[in-house]
Amino acid sequence: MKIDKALWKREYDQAKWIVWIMPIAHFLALGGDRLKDWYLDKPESIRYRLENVHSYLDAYDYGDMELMARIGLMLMLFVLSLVQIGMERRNGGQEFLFSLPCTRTRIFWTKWLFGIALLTGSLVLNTAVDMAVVLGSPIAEHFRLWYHLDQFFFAWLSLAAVYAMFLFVGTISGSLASQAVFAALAPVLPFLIALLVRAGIAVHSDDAISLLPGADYILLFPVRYDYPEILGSGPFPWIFMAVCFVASTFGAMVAYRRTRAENSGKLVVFPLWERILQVGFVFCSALAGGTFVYAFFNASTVIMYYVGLALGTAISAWVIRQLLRLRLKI
Amino acid sequence: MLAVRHLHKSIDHRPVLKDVSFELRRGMVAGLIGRNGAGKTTLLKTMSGVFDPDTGDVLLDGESVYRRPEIKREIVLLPDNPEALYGYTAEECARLYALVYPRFDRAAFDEMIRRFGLPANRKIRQLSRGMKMLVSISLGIATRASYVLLDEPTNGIDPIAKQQVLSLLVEAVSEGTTLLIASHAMGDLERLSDMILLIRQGEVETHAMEDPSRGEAVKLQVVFDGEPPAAWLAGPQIMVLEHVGRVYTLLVSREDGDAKLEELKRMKPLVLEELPLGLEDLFVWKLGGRNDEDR
Repeated sequence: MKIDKALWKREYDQAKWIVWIMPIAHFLALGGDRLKDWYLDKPESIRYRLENVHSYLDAYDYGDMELMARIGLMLMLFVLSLVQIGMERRNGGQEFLFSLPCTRTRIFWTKWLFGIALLTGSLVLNTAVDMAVVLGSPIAEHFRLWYHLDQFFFAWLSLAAVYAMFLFVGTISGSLASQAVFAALAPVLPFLIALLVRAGIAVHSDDAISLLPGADYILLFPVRYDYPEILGSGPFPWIFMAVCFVASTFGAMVAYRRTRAENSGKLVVFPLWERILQVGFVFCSALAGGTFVYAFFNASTVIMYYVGLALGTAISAWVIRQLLRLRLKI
Repeated sequence: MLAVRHLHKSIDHRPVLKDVSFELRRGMVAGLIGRNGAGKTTLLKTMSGVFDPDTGDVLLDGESVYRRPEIKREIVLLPDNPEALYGYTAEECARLYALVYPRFDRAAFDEMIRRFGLPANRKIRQLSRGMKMLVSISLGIATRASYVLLDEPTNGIDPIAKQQVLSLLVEAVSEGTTLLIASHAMGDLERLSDMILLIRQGEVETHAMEDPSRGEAVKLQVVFDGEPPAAWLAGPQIMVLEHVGRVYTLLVSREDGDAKLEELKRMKPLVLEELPLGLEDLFVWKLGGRNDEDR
């Protein structure tokens, strides 16, 4: 339908520079980097590198290039989500879209599809280029099709999940600035909370800490895995990413449909999320306050931890109340 | 017909629209007036689906614009600043609008752009405020939508651009478009409107242009014989609009009957002349009291 064409055109118009930069940056981090290592470097460096290749893992550098490419793509998707949601809130684009003769659900799916299509396109193109580079290089004998496919699917799922989460955070955030902060925090928030909880428990009892899972396991996004980690981590990250992808997509769609445009400029647009933010902020700040005071005074008594906890609670409760009253222009 | 039914909208726990109901017939012009922050923009945005109402509905020929947003092809919102289109040229805007609105009249748009000497290939953000509004209104009219909602179309633009904007609006009306114009430009609304919607404390009152005060008030020019009656002038039913020398221009309420008028006649003023009551008088009468809750 023509309206879909209009929505796609609008998405492209506002994010066209990302459409071009993303595959190019992806190429520079993956195929281009491999091209440099195996074609463009000095012959003696290539020879030396080749002498140290004993397995396909050596040849593929343990997936380090794919890892860097995934990190780069994650940053691009972060920026894309800011452009699609936060910037639109700021420049009146969202109000323009909401006044058009189409449902908000339709607008949301256009945005989502645009990002997913861009990610898929960049991955397909650059995986193909990378395979061609490997096949034509001195490490061609170590070429493994399933290695490329593993990396492709892992990158697709982990980045689609992260992108959906960025969109979800965007739909509940009220401004560009708050979206940027919340989206940057979201992937590491479970890790930070786990760290603070562990520190709090360790203050009371060293024994209990051994019963808790390592904080690192809770770090959300396996975007940072190298190839041995992908192989060795079993089905958990795949399931986790799939669940995160579906839940974030659904959550973002519902939040976008119910967006309260009149609250644009606030930290978050929904009263429920305002309360969640308030409670979460105070909880984390209290734990951080306790940990900080306990460590700063090198305390031998747990009382100092509770002093910090109380201070953290009081200060953060005041700060978040002020922040929630703000209407940000950015 | 576009019918607004029992619309409620609260922002930050403050009711901005309270049980707002009115109807716009095809081909009419309605002016929307009210103090700053009274809720004019909120009403326009809620009617066009930008904001969700808390309760109530907006019906286009009996169908809800919230349940069937595709019928909004017949409703165009033109905000006071077309910021969302800043990255486009007028030419690109036309292409975008043509995809959204099936009856978009490209020839008419090109003609309007040419007539007003607007640059078709310069980004909207680079245009003057008047030019921005002209492009925006040209786009809105060229959609051939039946209802165009305009938020402060003549605010902050020079008199020549203002005349051009008004001429565009008059043309649109002559072609059967219904306009709802939120504005503080009372003179413009007086010339264009068939009906006035006055918004205060979240409620909307409807006033026909033939009798904007609905017989609730009368405007008088008075010259008193001797000392002006200070106590009478200070009464709640009297509003002094102007006082030059011995000449008073007054608004006298008739809400409680003609008692105050009779009192005035008994004072035997030297001059007692009824003046036509304009839109600005209505605005001042309704909203310009001790606070905007007065009448």
